[in-house]
Amino acid sequence: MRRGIFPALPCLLLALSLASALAQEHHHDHGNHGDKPTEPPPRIFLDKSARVVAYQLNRLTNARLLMVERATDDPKYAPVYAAILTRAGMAQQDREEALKGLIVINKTDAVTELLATLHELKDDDKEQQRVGRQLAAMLLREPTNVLSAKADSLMGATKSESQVLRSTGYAGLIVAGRADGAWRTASEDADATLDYLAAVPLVPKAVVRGSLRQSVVSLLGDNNAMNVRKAAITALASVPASIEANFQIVAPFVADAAYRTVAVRTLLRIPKNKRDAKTASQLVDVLVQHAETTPAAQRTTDQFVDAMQLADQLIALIPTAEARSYRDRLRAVTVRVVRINTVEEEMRYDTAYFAVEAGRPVQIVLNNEDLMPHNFVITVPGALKEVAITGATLTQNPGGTPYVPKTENVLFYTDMVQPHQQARLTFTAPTEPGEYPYVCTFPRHWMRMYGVMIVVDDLDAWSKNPTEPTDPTGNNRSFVQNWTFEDLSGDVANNLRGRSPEIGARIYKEATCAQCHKVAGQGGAVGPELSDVFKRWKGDHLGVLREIIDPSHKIDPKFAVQVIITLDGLILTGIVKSEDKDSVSVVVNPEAPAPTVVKRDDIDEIEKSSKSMMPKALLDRFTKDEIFELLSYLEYAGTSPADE
Amino acid sequence: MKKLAFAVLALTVIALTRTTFAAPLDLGKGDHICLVGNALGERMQHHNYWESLLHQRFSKHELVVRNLCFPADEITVRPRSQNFGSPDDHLKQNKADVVIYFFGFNEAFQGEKGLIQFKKDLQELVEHTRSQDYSGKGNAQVVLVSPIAAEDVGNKHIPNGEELNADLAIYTKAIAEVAEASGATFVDVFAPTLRLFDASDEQLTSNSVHFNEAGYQKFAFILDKALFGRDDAPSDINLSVKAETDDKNFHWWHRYRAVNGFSIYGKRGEAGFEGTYRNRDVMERELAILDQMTANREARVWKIARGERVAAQVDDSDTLPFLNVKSNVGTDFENKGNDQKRGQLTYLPAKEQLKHFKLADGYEINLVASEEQFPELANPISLNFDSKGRLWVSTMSSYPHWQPKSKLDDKLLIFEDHDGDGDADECKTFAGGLHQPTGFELGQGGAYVAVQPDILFLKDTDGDDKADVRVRQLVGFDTADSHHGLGAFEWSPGGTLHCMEGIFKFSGIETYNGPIRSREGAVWSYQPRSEQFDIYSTFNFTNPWGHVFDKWGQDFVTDGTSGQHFYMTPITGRLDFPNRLRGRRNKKEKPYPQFLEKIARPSAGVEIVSSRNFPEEAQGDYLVNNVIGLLGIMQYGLKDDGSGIGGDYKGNLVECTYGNFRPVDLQFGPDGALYICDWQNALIGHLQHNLRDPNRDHSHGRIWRIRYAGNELVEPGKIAGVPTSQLVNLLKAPEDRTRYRTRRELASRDTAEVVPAVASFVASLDASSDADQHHLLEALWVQQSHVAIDESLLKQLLRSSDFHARAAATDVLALWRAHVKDPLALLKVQANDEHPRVRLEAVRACSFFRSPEAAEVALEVLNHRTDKYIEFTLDETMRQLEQF
Repeated sequence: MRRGIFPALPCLLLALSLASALAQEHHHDHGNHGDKPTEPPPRIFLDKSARVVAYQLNRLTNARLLMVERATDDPKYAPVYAAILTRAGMAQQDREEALKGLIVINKTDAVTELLATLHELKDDDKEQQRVGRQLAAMLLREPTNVLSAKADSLMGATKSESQVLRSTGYAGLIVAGRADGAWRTASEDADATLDYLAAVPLVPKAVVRGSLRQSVVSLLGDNNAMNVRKAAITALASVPASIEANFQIVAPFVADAAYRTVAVRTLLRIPKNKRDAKTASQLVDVLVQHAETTPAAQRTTDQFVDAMQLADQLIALIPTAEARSYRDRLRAVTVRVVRINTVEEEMRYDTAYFAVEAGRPVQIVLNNEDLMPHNFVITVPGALKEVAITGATLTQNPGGTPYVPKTENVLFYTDMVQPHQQARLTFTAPTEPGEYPYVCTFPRHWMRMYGVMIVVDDLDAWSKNPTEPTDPTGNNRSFVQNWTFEDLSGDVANNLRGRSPEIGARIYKEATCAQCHKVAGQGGAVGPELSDVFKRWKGDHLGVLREIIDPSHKIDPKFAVQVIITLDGLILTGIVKSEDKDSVSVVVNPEAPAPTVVKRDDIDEIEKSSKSMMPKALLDRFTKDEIFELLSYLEYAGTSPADE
Repeated sequence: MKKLAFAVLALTVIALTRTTFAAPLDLGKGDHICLVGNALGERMQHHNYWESLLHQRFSKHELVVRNLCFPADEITVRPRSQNFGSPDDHLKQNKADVVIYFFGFNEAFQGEKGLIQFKKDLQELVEHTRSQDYSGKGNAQVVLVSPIAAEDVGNKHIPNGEELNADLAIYTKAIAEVAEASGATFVDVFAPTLRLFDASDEQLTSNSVHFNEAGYQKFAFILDKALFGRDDAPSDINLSVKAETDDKNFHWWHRYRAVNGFSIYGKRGEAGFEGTYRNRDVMERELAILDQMTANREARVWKIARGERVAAQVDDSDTLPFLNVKSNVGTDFENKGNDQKRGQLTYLPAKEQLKHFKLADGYEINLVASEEQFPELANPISLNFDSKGRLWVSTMSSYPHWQPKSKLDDKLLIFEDHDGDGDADECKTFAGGLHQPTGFELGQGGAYVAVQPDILFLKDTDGDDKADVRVRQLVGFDTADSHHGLGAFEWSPGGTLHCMEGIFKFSGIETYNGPIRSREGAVWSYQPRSEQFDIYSTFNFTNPWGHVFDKWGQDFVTDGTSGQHFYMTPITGRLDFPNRLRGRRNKKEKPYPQFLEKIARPSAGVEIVSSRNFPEEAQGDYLVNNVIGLLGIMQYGLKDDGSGIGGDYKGNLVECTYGNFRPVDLQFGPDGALYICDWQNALIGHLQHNLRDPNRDHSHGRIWRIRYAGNELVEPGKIAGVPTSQLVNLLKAPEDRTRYRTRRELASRDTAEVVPAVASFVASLDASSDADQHHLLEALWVQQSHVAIDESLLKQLLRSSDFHARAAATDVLALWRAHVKDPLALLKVQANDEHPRVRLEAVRACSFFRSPEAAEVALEVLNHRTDKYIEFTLDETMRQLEQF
């Protein structure tokens, strides 16, 4: 062990020892779910005082905490379950197991346990707030009748000290079918009303949220306090009922500086086909005036970019001549902005294509809302694949930008954008009209993470009659459904009948599984080997299916994305391959032969997530049948070695 | 028992070496031989018997020998300070034709479980080395020397070597197998030294595992025979050859292990820029000169070995010139810092300097000694008092770095005040020829002196006050920076010697328990009777420059560079390497709080007021020297702060408006007055000026004494020459320093005499009297210094009526854990003590155990109120114990 630690010392000179240490680290590194760690479980003195137990549990890492012995037949294990339930970065499955444990031990129910747990969380701690939101979501997934039976407790929660708990209480009452009672209580004072409005987005079912429309809209009136009206505007974005009307109701608020920011955000969330031309036209006029009166120094703020993004989208809805004039006025004061977000856990941009005017300046604002870093590289038409494949090898790109090849095929690019960070890319669009692909060139991302920038001579004309570009990767699959586990989990046995391994193997390939997984020794090594996936799951089809559809549901800590921020401000995102007392080895680039080793002394923060490195929604371009072909393939992949 | 073990081991190894005897080493004319590996090899350049023998045997070969060994080195663990250069860099620079590797000793502490990795590493090392052409003449030859056996030195506190020899035997076998498989020459010195130790009546090692002078003399022939496979070496070592080899290796040593490495090849090589030259330019030139001087001397060795005549003096006329730098004093130097506190290039006479002191009310100051009367007193750095009450001072006029061609002659001085008037009348040089003696302490009848990378033990055996024994007692400290340690020597009340080092330093010290290493900043501990050496604090000090224990054994360290002060109990628990205590490494960690508020930096030397000469209200105060921000001594009142101790700033005992006053050490003398060591230098910064800035002073130094005018001086307690049975009574003396020196004297005397005397002393005390609790603790500490386990006294004090004594006894329990019955049960009581200090000590003590039961005891503390000190200590203790 000692030798393994040494290379992290700054003074170690012997190259030999580094090699041997890496070789040794390789020994410690168990690359798949099947291997059980050999270290003994932590020794927790559960018979000692609550303070001792809490102190000991608090010292454990998530992985070690999960190794603590526990059972539901003895109340001494309650603190262990409680610790798992409230620990940041725990997988949903582990939280659920912990909740069940507490319910058995305490002879209570989920609602009681979750409310009690939420009560214990600290409101002022960011990490605990995040856990609180996850626990609230668990509570709100409980069936209506269960929540209904706990209406008194939920009502009690609305009077809690904790904001999360109060809103959860309201949301629980709404889910329980007690929306009226909730509304009555919420109407008692402005603070309660704010809690009620914050509860709206927490309600899981769209139809239930839709039913709240009347109460939310009633709070927009000028007889309400400004903060209540603002909260109502925000809440309305989560209310999927009478959406066209919502667009019209919120639109006038844009003229008022006090409400503009929240109103623009809500309007941006309203689907484009629910926005009417007349309102759009009025809004464009207001927004263009706003642009013209905003001092130059304030034209780079997020709020302003939001407003211009909305203006840009709405201009497409108004008559061409009028549109052209507004666009000219906007050009005089600001560069056209196209905002593109990455989608958390799905490894894709939220924008499949957008149009720009040939030879005109444009600014792309890339918000990385994913847990891993991404970049944004625009290539010449037809060069996506070549650029992406070359780029993936350029982990270190001396004199250049990592992952971006120095070639004429690359037109414009950002550096790697870290999670929750933003990058702005300003450039003049090519003069030659055409379909210019954009792509994330981080290794393995290009297959899913790309889109097309359409360069047109007349943007307003194109906007009147937009044409969908050709998929630049040659993928001719189109979107089928955003599959959830529940969509597929009924009658699995029947669905698996009569599947063919040849078709399954083809789906396996098309769905890019082999990029990261091995079957019979073939494929990538980022994720676990899949040959024996069914053996590991003891033949549980539902278990495997859930792994595919919701990779983060049960995540081996070895494959959870972690973000390491060093004291020098460097951000590394990846999976931790090995760690010891002295250093952490992170696989940042799956293509890179060796992990990046960071000294613990140099680490400022490790942000652990419970998210898998595997994207979800991998199968949203596949039909139900195709998904079951794949599942069937995986079941038998391990049994016939020469499968490919 | 010894015989049987010997027989079994010897058989194993002999059987093995007969079958795997590799080709003896074949040397060609002009071959360069490099020694690489651990302390066995490293120490050979200080005991030049083998090298002399080699030149005698191959007198026509004109062999070049360069010793590249480092104590505590393992094949894959060779920490060095920044940019030292890789092993290959050094082999290349020295054009190695033959590499003799000394590995396996430190690795052997891994036992069986480390064997496979060891063989793999060794195989790779041999293959790598053999594939290199360092000399430009072809691939290097490789020799693998086995470890030597461990000796039974007949000291009950030191293992008899049996267990270690079993491991050394299997590692020797492994080395033989690798040599066999890779074609390297194998040299077995294990079996012959095992036989040697068995047959010898003379002790041949200092600590069972490291040869002494006599051991190396014998080893020369063993190694020679094993290397060359024949018994035809010259029968005697030619002392002329050896004398010249000593001189050659003296120069090589100062080249390869140059102090201030961080300011030569490391980052601060870039510093010291005076417009033309940086430190690196100037100092690399000096290293080049040393290379030339080494070669010049080696050429003389060849001639002497051949019986040719050489000139009386070495001719170094072919060496490169020194690069002479100009001073940057008077440039940016003048414009920086506080005008009043800045040094000045005009040195005031001591008489004039006296006028610049501003003392707190009621105190007066006088000159004890200055360079005006005693030119030897140049750049004094550390002071102390011996059992006769005499002042000892170490000086380093060569600071920051000895220059080649000059006489290396830093000193340890004794000052005598014959007429008792408070100033010195005579200065004796106890030892010269030292280099950068940044710290020293007296004890065991001699002096422990830091000369990095070593701690020497110097002793006067004939009573002429001149050291006539000089032993490298502890070796392997880093030399990255001469002023980042090794200093602040202090005995713990229980007879453990502490000293400390600062940043940039990566030290490795071999012990019979395996290598002990630091990763920058460390406080060390050394028990001379058991030869136990260990790391006392792994806290991330920048440059710790002062250490003091209070009356009850609680200790404090000042971090010199930052001027911060730390209460030590929470940061002296066990934490296995390479872990270090948290609390000061990065901003993410909850900081370990200072125990008092910093007023000025940097600080060098701390002391606690305990003197009947000083006023009542000053007793127990914490004094801190300051050498730049204040130029004086700050005074803090100490008070209990929960489980620990806190302090309040009370003002300054003394300040000086003359900028060359640099108080770097302070201690109460036997007369109860406070003595101050004044470095007396215009330039204080190491980094701010070139190492060779001509304005660095090499001739001034002063010792001052502060006394309180309102009280008489203290009648010094008599220590030297007092029979032990009477001396124990001085453990009741009111002055901490009198008891300190009494304990130090008792620790040095014969155990057979001391233990019964302490027992009578204890018998004379009233165990139930509150007033006697401290006396009992003093007795326990003396027993501790003799490793004389006194379980009944320990148990008595663990439950003393005074919490201070219970806390101190808890520390002793941690140390004696292997010797007392059911230590964890005793500790559990301490962990639930009514006083938080005792609970704190109990949590720290748990960290030394290696079992989950210890964690269970430590966690008991959570059944009581906790505070910042206990919480910090518990976290670190649990970090250690969670691995079991």
